[in-house]
Amino acid sequence: MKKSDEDDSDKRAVHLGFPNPAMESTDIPLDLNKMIVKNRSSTFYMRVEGSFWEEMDIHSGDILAIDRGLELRSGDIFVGTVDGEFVLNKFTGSHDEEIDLWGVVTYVIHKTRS
Amino acid sequence: MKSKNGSLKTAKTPVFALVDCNNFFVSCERVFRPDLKDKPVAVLSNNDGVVVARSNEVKAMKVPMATPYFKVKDILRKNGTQLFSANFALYGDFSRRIVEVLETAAPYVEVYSVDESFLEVSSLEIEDYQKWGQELATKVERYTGIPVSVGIGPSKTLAKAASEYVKKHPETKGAYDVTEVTPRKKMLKWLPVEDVWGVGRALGSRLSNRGVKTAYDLTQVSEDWALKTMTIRGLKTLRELKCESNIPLETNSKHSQQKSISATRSFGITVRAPYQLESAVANFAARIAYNLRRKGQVASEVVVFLRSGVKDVHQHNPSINVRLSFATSDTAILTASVVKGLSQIIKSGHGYKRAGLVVHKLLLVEASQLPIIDTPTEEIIGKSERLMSVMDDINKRWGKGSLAIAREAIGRTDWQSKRENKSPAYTTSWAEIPVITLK
Repeated sequence: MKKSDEDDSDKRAVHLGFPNPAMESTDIPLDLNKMIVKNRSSTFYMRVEGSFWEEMDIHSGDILAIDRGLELRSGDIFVGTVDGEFVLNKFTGSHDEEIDLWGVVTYVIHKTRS
Repeated sequence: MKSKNGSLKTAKTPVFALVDCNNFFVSCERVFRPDLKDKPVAVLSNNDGVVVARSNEVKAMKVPMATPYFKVKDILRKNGTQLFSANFALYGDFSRRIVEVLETAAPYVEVYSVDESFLEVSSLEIEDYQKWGQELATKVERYTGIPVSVGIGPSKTLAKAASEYVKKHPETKGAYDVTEVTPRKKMLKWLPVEDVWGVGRALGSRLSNRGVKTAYDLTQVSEDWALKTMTIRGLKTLRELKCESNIPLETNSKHSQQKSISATRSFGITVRAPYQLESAVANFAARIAYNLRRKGQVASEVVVFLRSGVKDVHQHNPSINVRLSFATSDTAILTASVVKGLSQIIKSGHGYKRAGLVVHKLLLVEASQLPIIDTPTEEIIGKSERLMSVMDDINKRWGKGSLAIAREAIGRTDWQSKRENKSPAYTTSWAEIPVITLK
């Protein structure tokens, strides 16, 4: 989509003969989706319940954006499964055999106004 | 590259891949229920309490597809089967996700149904198709959580057969390549003739009676014999099995702007069961939503229709115009909407020969934030009011009236309790996203 927009503006610039300042601008209003969702096909959301991770600034009611398509890297927070339950964990570099990776947490969305 | 009717022409010998989701509805339900891994799971249709998807554990109980629930209730219960009522919004969303992954892997994708897509990959210069297919299967499962089987072959029919082979042969690790003669022969000798794409049970048993029992046997008959015994479609099938691609990939040109898109199908037989009609319209919805997205279009209305046979004495040719709450190309919304629309027009016990969907009032995505109706002429107002009254009627019935639909369709308290087993709208409603409890 983005690509064809650029193509169009190129064409217009040629036809007009001189650059139209309004056309030249490629500024697009900020879109939170584009920042948080890198892969539309592999991004899911989950809601946190419980205060266990408050020290890590993850609070009850927060929404996690989780990308299943990413490779796990050291320092990542990830959702895994143990004995059929979802768990949240921090990857320190060596994989815990008991935990199956479900997806990598990319953002924590925290609402500040009740 | 493309001919006028949208079919694909390639100079090279085509190579097709069929990507088929394993136990699709069940697999969708399991993504957010890790506790159900390796446990028996079955999905029942919305309308009539028929088994429409089975996990491998349920298949092992010898519960056939499309069995009415009451017939298999005891065996399912005895084995602790987790039952779900079909959640088409969820399945539609996963369908969309999978197609998006496939589009990153192949230049041409044809969404054949809600859980199957054909790819054409001859231009990719792939050296090892088997390995490519396995990697694709791994990627789809990693991205979406849905396991798939990938069959690769020189025709669509062979690709589809290869994907069947994958499902029954775990050692294939997700993919089977029949572009070479040795694996192809092995597969053809294994595949029962009735499981060949386009043959089916009735024709299959007729062929079987004449000694044509496997797909390989079918490749040995003459074209004359095939034409006489199986009509022109059968001849196509024979040629496809012999590596001559006769059924092209159907892709729609990305740039042609259409005012409406339709998908219809004649069943060939009279279809009475709501679950079959449901699955037909769900497949149409997946195809149409995909074509909309390819063209950067969104639809604001969708017509669902059913047709009796021309010669049927009792004609019932209902249609409903479902106005979507906003213009969309989302498979989840479209699928859920048409399934609900369908439930409004099906006449219990009545048989239909054809079903279809038409989406119209298409807009480009860029324009979709504008009001759908901006110059209210008298004609448009009248039309809009009629639409709204249909919509209100639907809303009224879905709300507190949804019980009435269940009663009308089933009349069994047993099933009503099962309707409560519909899983949350995990991916389409913020209020219903999965909860992770930290302790």
